[in-house]
Amino acid sequence: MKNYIKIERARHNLTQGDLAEKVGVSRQTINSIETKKYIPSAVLALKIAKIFNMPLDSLFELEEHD
Amino acid sequence: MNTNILFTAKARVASYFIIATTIVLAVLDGQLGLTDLTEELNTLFFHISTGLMCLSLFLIQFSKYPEEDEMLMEIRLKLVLNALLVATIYLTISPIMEHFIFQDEIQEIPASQIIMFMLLYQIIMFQMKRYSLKKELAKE
Repeated sequence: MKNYIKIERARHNLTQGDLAEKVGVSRQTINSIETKKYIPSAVLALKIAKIFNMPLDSLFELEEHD
Repeated sequence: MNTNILFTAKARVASYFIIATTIVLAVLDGQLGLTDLTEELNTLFFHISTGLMCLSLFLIQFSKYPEEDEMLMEIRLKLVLNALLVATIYLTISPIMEHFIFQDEIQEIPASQIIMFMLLYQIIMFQMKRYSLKKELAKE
């Protein structure tokens, strides 16, 4: 699953640590999501989308093999 | 994913203490006169200590770490599945090895041995994964 968290994070001038703190997970988890090694739960994905004030499907996108 | 089902970090510390005490008792059983006990009592102590070791390993694997979140929980749950597969393979291979390689009498494998094997596998793999995640983060 593709995601635009890194881009949005840069746009909002947030570090991985800042975002992690806001959504209540570790920095490792944010890093793993950005590098597509971990697919977040629906709750976490919604929390991240809320931080960036954008709809979920604009932040996360299904790829062909998903 | 809810991580509240996990035990506290204090449970992990207590588990380390229990394991260390059990190992010390096992090493010093001669000096403490435990070997002079009847066979029945010896067996009882052995089963209790094995059970305590299994419980301690379980608490170590399912207790909270400072960086605890849904990703670590998912890693843990995937490892339970992997450990089950590895234990099944171990159960299959063990009698074959005993018979053909060591040419020993085939014996039943105790449940405590399998549980301990599965928990040790999970703990080792989980710590390796945690270490690799930390290393990856340090590279960033």
